[in-house]
Amino acid sequence: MDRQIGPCRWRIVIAVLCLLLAGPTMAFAQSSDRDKNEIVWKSLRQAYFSDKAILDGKDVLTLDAPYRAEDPAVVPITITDMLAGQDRRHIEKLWLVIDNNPEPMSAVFEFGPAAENATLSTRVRVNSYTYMRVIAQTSDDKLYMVKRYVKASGGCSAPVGRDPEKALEHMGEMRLREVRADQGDERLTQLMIRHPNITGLQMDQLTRLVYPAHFVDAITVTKGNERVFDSHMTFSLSENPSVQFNVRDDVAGELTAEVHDNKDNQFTRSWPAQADQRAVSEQEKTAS
Amino acid sequence: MQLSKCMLGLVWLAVWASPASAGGAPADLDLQAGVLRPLELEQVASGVFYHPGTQAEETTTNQGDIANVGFVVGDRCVAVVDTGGSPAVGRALHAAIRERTALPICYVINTHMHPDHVFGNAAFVQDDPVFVAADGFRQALAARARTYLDRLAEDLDEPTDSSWIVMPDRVVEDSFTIDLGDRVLQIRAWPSAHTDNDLTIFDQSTGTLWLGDLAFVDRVPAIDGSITGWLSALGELRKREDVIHAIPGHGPASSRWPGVLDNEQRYFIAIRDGVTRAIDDGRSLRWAEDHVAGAEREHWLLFDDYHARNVTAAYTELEWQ
Repeated sequence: MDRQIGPCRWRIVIAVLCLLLAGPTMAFAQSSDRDKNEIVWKSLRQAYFSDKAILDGKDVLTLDAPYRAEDPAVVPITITDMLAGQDRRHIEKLWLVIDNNPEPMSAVFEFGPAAENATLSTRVRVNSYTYMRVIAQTSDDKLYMVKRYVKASGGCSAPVGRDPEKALEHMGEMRLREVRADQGDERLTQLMIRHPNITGLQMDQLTRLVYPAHFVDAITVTKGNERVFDSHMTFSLSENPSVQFNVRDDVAGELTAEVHDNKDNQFTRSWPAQADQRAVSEQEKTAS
Repeated sequence: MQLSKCMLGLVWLAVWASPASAGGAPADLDLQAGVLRPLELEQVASGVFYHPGTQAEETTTNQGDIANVGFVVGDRCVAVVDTGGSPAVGRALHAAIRERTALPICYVINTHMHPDHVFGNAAFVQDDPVFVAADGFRQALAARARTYLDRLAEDLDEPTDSSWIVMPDRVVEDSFTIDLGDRVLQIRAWPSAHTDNDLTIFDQSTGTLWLGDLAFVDRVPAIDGSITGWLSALGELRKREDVIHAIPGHGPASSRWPGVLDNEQRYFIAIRDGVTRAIDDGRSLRWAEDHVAGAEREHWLLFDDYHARNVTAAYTELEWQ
């Protein structure tokens, strides 16, 4: 490849960038103590839930996340629905908040009649040491919260995907698998979506070297005519988003996933109810 | 030269103007101590020198001197291969070069974008060399630069700023040959392996292969690219019969070729096979992190710092195959 730009010119560009960069970098480095996290949460709480009481959620749901995130770009988390199997009330909606991420309100899931319960696993990006919290709204219109503290770590790592080119090349491809829960005998359904899920925020001052934001912002899963869940999210989900959930066996029909991204691409894929789901994997891109 | 001066001026201005150095204290520990201690070198072959980095994470004590760095001297000029994890290490490498030769430094080659290999680049800007890296280096480093600078500011307990980021002038897509004067270096770029911008450098005249982080010896490898890509790269490298000396990115140089790659290859195969089984059994990522290739632990330094992350990298790659 030919030299496109002379050595000095490149370095001038970089040097000028120093001037712009030094400030924000320092501010960023200081934003990792726990007190500050609570301040972030307080303003979010006001914006999203105003004065409504938020109760201790330990009997309603659990949040399982590693205390030390091995790879900050891929932090596996599981939200377990403790009301599962109860007739009296159930979880209708979940909010996932990662306090120290650039957009803390990371995802919202609303469950429908085809959901067996609200147990859910996914993988998220964690920008730095942070509280992660889940707020649940129950069918009796109460709010509950659980939280975990997560330390991002790893010498060479950053919350960036390893191969955005490849993810882009296969964008919109989806797979459905049956997976085992980490505890118990439960079987979950895993929806896997090929998407680079680029935050676009990685280093503002070097933006022209980095892809602009491009991420999945909505996922809807239905079975037959019934909704399993509707969801909206930011780039806090990892590259190639993955969501595991529980579908009711007694609802008939195909399972359909509709995925939307911030560039208004829409991807839709259906799987027959009884097919060997693991073997199925092809993409259907319906609009772009 | 004129351009070079303008450049230096800008860097100086930028450093001066940044809040990092606003307190007036010298950022550089060498200067505080009043001495600049050149890196200790080992000669691998005629005109080929390397400094073995400490097998540890970055700390205030090692200043980021945790990766192998070195240089090759030709009749006309010098090519530097990686520059260490901070400008202080880069300056110490520069001083070590100057103890051996007064020839100009015409190339600085970065084997990939990780901070322990490139954050000494700033110490060589004054020489106005051609900075060489693989295609993909710029984008990969730009995407991670802020994270790297923030993390190193904590680990080294020293202000960092973007003067630490020096991007390449020349990017290599496949291969590139440079002549240092009766000393030809063949530079080769690899498909995604350790990272998506790995380079190896071969010095024909001495049969020395600089492997960058395609080779980790003793220290556990870190997958930041592709486990299948890395395994194919190792397979291809092993076929080479012209290698007499191999210099890994971490760990001692060796003339055991291709045996120097054995442990690493075994480790990756254990991960690949274990993760593939976990995926086929419907096991989760969390489960795989706890259960795959744990028996490798006794063979590696820093295993607990990187192994689970390697499994994550392998899992998220292999689940799509």
